[in-house]
Amino acid sequence: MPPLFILSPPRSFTSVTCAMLGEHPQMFGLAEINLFAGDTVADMQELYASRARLETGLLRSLAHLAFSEQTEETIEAARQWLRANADMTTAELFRTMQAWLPDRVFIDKSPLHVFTLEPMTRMRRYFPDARYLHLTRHPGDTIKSVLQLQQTVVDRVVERAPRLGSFRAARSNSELPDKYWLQPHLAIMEFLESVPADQQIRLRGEDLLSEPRTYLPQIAEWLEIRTDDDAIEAMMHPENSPFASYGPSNAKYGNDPNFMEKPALRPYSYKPHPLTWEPEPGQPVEVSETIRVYAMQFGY
Amino acid sequence: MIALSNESSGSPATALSTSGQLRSDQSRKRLSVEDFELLQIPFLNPAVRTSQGMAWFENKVILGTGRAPLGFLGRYTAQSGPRFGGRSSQTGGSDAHGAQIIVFDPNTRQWEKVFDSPIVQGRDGNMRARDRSVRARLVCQTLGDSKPCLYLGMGSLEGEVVFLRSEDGIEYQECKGSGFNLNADIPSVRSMACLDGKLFCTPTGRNYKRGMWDDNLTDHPIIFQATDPLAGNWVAVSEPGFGNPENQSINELEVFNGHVYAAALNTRYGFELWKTDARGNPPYRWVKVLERGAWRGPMNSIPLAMVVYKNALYVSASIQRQGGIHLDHFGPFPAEMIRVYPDDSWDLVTGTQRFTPQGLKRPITGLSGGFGDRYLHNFWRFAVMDDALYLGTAGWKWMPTYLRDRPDLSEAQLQRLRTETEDYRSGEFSLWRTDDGIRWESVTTTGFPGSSPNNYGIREMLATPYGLFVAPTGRTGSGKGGGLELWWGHSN
Repeated sequence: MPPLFILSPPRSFTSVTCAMLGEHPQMFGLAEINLFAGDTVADMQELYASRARLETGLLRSLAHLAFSEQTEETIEAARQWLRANADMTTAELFRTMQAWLPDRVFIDKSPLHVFTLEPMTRMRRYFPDARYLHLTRHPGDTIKSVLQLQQTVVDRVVERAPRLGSFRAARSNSELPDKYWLQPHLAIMEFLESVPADQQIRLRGEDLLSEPRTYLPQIAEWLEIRTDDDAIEAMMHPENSPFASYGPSNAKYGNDPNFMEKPALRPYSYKPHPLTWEPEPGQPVEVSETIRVYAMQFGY
Repeated sequence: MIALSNESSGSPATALSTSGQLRSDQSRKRLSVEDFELLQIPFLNPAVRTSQGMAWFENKVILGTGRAPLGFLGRYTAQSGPRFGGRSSQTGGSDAHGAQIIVFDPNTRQWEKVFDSPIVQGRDGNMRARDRSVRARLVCQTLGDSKPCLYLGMGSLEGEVVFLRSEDGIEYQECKGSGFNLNADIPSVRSMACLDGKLFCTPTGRNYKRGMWDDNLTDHPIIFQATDPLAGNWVAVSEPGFGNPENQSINELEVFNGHVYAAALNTRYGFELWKTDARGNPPYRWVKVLERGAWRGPMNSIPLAMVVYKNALYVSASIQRQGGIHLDHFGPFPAEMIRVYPDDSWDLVTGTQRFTPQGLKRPITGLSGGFGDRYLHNFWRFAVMDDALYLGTAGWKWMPTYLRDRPDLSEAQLQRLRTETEDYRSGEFSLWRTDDGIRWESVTTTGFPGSSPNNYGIREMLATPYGLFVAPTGRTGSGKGGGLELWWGHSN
């Protein structure tokens, strides 16, 4: 079945959305495979050499699909298998994974795919019938989440190296909204100009999380898969995703750490708020005119 | 859309269908572009460039005409001091040339000019036309009328909107209560509706802000009703903006299923659609039917036109052109069309498929916005004739604001826009028709053969027992190479 690609900047509810949808009996939500950043597995391994964590989601996905479990052993077996198949194209690898779990809509939400056109163009070339869910989040909230994650990472470093004291993640970078919100959205929208209208749809992440029982059936209807109560109920439990918790020590991440800490759906309500972001806590400033206009287009 | 009344019965060529829509015996055949002839309109002054108000009344076509605002795009309309760029009156004619009403009898092909705007002293002391345009029109028998009467809302060049009333289409009385008795900056109106002997109308425009750029906005987004418009007994029947401060005007009114429907312009979140049964004492209870531009957002900020067709209310929407600022700068965005049913459920006719609180909406035509043409910006006017729905449109390419200063686009995207814009042929517009709202066929997508390159869209259409009258709008009056055209589509 044609895959579903969730296209969204990082920190835009992609993990929980992918996990929810992936629990539908006819779908499977992958970890962050970042696969279409290259043409071949060898291309990707070149990338992994300098950024090893980018491989984690793929290893976890392969291990789960091939062995139905993610252990240090199965992760290592997946890694070896990848090395042995370095000449495989990334399309062949994706299709191989699909063959291991047939008759499912595979869902990918890799953050590496949305910053330039190339990965998305590759997806379209490999999978012309694929569908695209353009997932959005309020720009100010997105950047807040980016900054919080950066601080979380710093805190963990400090935990391991107390000498760094109360080191704080860098803020006040006025380019953050452009870099982490606008540019990915612009790339996504440019890419979607080449995709037939019926193969793409936009969704505010806030709407999905506020009213999942309103929007999950619509997503299933759009994808032309089951919309019965059992299927919808299954999607209400992202915590059941095989990637809703940390992986084994040799592939711990591959998904959003915050999501893996608390994967279950929680009551959520969204109240419209101004198009601002906070370079410093409690000091909102307006987003740029361009961001404002695109955010308005997305319903913010 | 003109509400047809009994005045049309008795004509040898006319009958009313069960739905109350006009049936034209001689034009049952599907109109094709070859069926349209250009009428030579006498009497037009050189400033007239558009018609926003035609009516079929007393077996005649009442052609209400309009001109451009005073300054270029009206930026300095009615203000003292120089007008923008010294380009005042560049759309043809002089300040003394204003709205006209010209009557055409399709049976005899006779024309008669029945109204010229009065000349009044402007705020700067200069003499100029009082009325800019016949902006709204409706045949209505109010509680104060002994027969169906024609009501016209006359947009003003620098004063307040004036209402005219006619019992025969030839003689016009000026109603009391100009500007809804508000003594405020209310230069115009866009739409009227008639229900249970009440005439409904609502202010639009701000002469003292940005002129034409605020042609659709108002400081008073309120619906008024009059049971005796001649006496000007206007009373407010809604709260401002239906209580939403983001609703900047109420642009379209229509009667459907025993209710008045009102569509509000909202540039921040998209248009809203409200309805009332208008029972009891005003202000009435209004119920929200649609919001957030039918969940497309501000790309559906302005409701463009509404019409009742085969037990559904058709609503079209797009963005308000604002001279290349805000969303106008980021286009093109195509127009969308929605149809609403008596139970408030709705379908997307042409537009972007989307998730909504009312469920997944896919276009029933299978076409994204603008019938699949992203430059088709305005679904500007509907008309129902012979059980078919006609639609006149305007595009965006004639004023390609989307090409200016677009750092948000890649060079490849910009080049695509430039290339596609090069296809534009001056004067092009399209006319469509459908028998069910699902399958649409184009009568023309390039204008009428020989129509002026000065045109940029169909601003007014009128269904009559004698065929369909179509009035493209021009950029300028005849004094500057343009002028109003009227095309008559009929099969003999």
